[in-house]
Amino acid sequence: MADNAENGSPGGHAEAPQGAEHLNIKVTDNNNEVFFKIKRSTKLEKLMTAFCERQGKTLASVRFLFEGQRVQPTDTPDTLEMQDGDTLEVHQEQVGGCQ
Amino acid sequence: MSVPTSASAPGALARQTTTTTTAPDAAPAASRSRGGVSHPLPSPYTGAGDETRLFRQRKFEEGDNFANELFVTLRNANYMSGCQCVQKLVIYSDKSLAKQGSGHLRFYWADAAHKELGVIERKLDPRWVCFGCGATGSKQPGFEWLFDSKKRKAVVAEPELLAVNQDTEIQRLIQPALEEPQHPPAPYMQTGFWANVTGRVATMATSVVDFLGRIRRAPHHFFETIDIRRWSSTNKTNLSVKRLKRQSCIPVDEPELEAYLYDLPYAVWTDDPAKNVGKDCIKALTTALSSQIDIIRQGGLVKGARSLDTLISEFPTNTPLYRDVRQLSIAIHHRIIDESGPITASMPNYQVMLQFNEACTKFREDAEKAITFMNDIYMSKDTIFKNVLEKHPSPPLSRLQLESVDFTSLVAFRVAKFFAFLIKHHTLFDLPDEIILALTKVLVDANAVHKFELVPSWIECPGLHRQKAMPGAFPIPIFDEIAVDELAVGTAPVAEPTWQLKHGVHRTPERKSHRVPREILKPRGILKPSKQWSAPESPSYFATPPKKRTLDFLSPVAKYFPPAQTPVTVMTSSREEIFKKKQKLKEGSTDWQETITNHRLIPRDSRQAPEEVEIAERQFGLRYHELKYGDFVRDMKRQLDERIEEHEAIHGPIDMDSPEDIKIPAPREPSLFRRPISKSRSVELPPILDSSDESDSDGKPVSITLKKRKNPLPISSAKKDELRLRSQLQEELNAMAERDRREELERQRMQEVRRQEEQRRLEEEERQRELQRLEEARLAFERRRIQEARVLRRPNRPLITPLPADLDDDVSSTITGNYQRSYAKTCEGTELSRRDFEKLIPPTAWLNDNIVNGCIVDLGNRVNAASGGTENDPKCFAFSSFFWTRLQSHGPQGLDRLTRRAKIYKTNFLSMDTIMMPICEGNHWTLAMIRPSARTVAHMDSMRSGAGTTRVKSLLLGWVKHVLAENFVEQDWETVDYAAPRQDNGYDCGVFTITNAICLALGLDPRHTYTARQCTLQRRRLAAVLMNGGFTNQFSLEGL
Repeated sequence: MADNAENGSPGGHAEAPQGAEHLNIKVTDNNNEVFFKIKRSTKLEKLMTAFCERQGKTLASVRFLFEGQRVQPTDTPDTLEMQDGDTLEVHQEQVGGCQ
Repeated sequence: MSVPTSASAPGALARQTTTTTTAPDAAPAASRSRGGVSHPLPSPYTGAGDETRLFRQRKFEEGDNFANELFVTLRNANYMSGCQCVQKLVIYSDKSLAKQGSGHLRFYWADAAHKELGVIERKLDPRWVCFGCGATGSKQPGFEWLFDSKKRKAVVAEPELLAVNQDTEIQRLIQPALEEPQHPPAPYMQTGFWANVTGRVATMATSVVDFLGRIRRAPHHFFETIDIRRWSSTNKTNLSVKRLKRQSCIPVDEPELEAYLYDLPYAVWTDDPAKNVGKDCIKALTTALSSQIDIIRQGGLVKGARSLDTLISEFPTNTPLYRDVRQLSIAIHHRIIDESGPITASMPNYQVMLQFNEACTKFREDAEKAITFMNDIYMSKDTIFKNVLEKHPSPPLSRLQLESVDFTSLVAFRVAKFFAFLIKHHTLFDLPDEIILALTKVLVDANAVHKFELVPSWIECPGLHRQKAMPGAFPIPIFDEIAVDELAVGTAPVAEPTWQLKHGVHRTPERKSHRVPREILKPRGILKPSKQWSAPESPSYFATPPKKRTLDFLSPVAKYFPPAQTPVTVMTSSREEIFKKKQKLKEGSTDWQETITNHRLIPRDSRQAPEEVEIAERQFGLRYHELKYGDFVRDMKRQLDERIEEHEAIHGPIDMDSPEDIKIPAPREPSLFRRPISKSRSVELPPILDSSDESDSDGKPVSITLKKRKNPLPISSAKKDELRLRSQLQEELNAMAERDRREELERQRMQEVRRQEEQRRLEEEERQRELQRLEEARLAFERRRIQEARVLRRPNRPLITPLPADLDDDVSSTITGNYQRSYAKTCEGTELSRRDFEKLIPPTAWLNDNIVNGCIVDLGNRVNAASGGTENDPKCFAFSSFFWTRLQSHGPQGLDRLTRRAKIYKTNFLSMDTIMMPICEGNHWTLAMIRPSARTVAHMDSMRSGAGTTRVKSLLLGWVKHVLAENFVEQDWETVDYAAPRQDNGYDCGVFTITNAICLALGLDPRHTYTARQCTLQRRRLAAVLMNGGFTNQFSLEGL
């Protein structure tokens, strides 16, 4: 009750633990699977950079996709509405010129 | 002076004498007198009320000025008209004197200073023109010359106009139809020759409704009015005249009108002019006239007779030799009297002789002219008639002026007059009827010649019964027919109707005594003719005697109930029982036995016939018992019934086995009269009545009281049978009725239900049909729209244009700068660096996903915004190239989230125009294009000139099916290929893909939008677009 009085909003109080919650996210590039545990509000750049370093790739040459959608470094699990256990797919840069 | 007679009214006089042949007579007079203030003369005197109203209205409107002006006008009129009377208009000194004066208008001085002039008016007195003259009753014409100086006077040929001085009443039968001004009710001439043929000729050239219609339609009316009158002053003679007055001739310079009016339908020229009158008659007439001419020439006539009597007495009547001479003498004498008046005694002899000689000469001349006339008109075909035939191919309606040296119009008039004279005195000459008829025909013809009309004998109406028409009548279809009965051809006043003429038999004159047989209608319906009597003499019918009917039951006998109330004299079974009970009570009494036994001695056959009952009553005193015991018996019955009911209510139906020995007649014969019951069949009943008081020696019941019993009264088994049967029947009937009722109700309910169901079904069908129709219409519209959407168009302006120099420099700088630097940011948020631009700008570089997705996704957003779509309800949407990657790896289900985020649902999918996505597969960029509104799925491969692969399309169709779910209609969707420029190198497929996407998103035909040669330029343009932040500003796609 005291918290309620201090925060002035029970909703904000309720969200706080959810935002602080950690998500387990699997990052896979078909060969390797790496699990990350990140906060909801953490920018995924951190994850992407970590994955690239670990796999020895440059960030510009890979594409992180969440269910077909390109993940930008500035995205967070919140903005992508990610849930625990979701998977990020890592694809190679697509280049094409002829068949 | 007889005031109301219109003929003596100066107004009428003035009007009639002004009649001309060139203008309607009544119209100017009426308009003139009602018109301007300068001539405040009232309209022709048509009625007192009318004039008074006008007068008052005028007086009210103009006040005293009216009197002054009226006086001046009248005075001037009198002076100018040459009024000869000494006393001019008089102004009375005061009003009282004026009231005592005479005349219709009387002026008086309204004030002492003689400045205000007043005027009073009297109704019903037409004399106001000049009461100095009018008061004396003279026929001084008033002032017609003042207004009608251009009018000519009537000539002798217009006898009705000259007849104004005659006090003759003319009954006007038909009001003039053509002109609204009232035609003056002019008396028909007595001085004219028509007076001579009164009762002879019933019609004159004459007109009719449809003839009038034709004339009326003509712009120039050449007939002015129609008038049908009958002279009916004495009611003994009839003279019906129908006439047309000619107003003007047809203008001959109007050929159309002429042709129109010249066409007289139904009529043709006759081939023999003498056919109508009859050649024999003409010859006979000619011979007779010739002989008379001879007589006159020989001079054998008796001259100088003072009177007819002396003439007849002087003449030797018995010599047949002189018969003709005598006839002619008398005729000429009559002629003198007709023309010059009676020969007075004071007349000198020489004058009488002179008159006679003149009359002889005239008679001779007339006879000669008549012979000539008849010869010319009827007998000689090659003179007048031939000329007319040549001039007019068909009988004309216009004036027909005959040209002859021998006679003129006036001669024809004279001839007509002469024949009228002959007809008048036909008794003198003993003329047979045929000759008289011929005379009238010739007279009519002569009159027509005189009036320049068509000679009736000259025309014929083929197909019509000319001979049935009256002499002189025009063809029937054109002219009105006069009923033959109305005409009189006999001598006035003993007029013989033309009945004889028509039917050839002499009709009895007593018309009043003749009973017109009333038509007896044949009876119909329920009134049947009586068979017992012969046909009635009068139409009143006798009622049909009641039919003897046999009575029958409508329903089966089982349903028959005896009436609730039986006749008084008939004993019911209950009464019978009471008697039995009494009998039982009086078991020992022989008196009772006797009485009851006697009762039953009534023969069975006697039934209930009233007479028999009466006899029975008289014999056995039934009424006596009824009177004496009726109340009591009824009480008994009531109580008995109550008990039975009570018992039955408690114990059910009466059980049968209590008194077994009861033998009572079967219930179907309840009447006492039918069955005499013997003593041995008497009933054993328990004592129910207290018989303590009935122990009298005579055995008559004095008072009976009911014993109070605990048990219900037992009744006889027969009665039980009857009651049970009755109750059973009743129950059965009730049950039956109830069952019927329920069945009926059920049936009605079921019917109602069925009806409602049927109605619902019909409504549902109707609704379905309506929906189906709507759906069909919608589908048809959709198909049309789809077909339209599938058509690609040419661009309005070139898509690929050279870049401006500064932009081109900027583009070049992107591949020379820092690799870390971000030169652009796609709409997806991807930073584009030198690394990306190095894969775009060099002419042979392969495009990467950042570039392709950046362009196409931005393109999708721009087109969506331009085509009216929103983010939540897109019209156009572009997926990135990873759509295809995931579709391949996860199938359509793996794209749900992507689709949802794009706000594409099955509800709005079909309303979208374009969904496109680049596909990178095997280092080759292709374009997938879905057009939901056109129901097409396409795949464009630049290496194959735009054609796609079936695998890609089917996979895409699978996704579409997944998205649309149940809204997916297989047959609607088609996979199509678009034609596009062909990629002929190994590096430009990305550029082709993007450019194709631009074209198809805009609905442009790629082949007409760009060429493969432009790809290098397009690379730089795309770089500039990306740096620009998309297809906006100078790279806007609007207007393409």
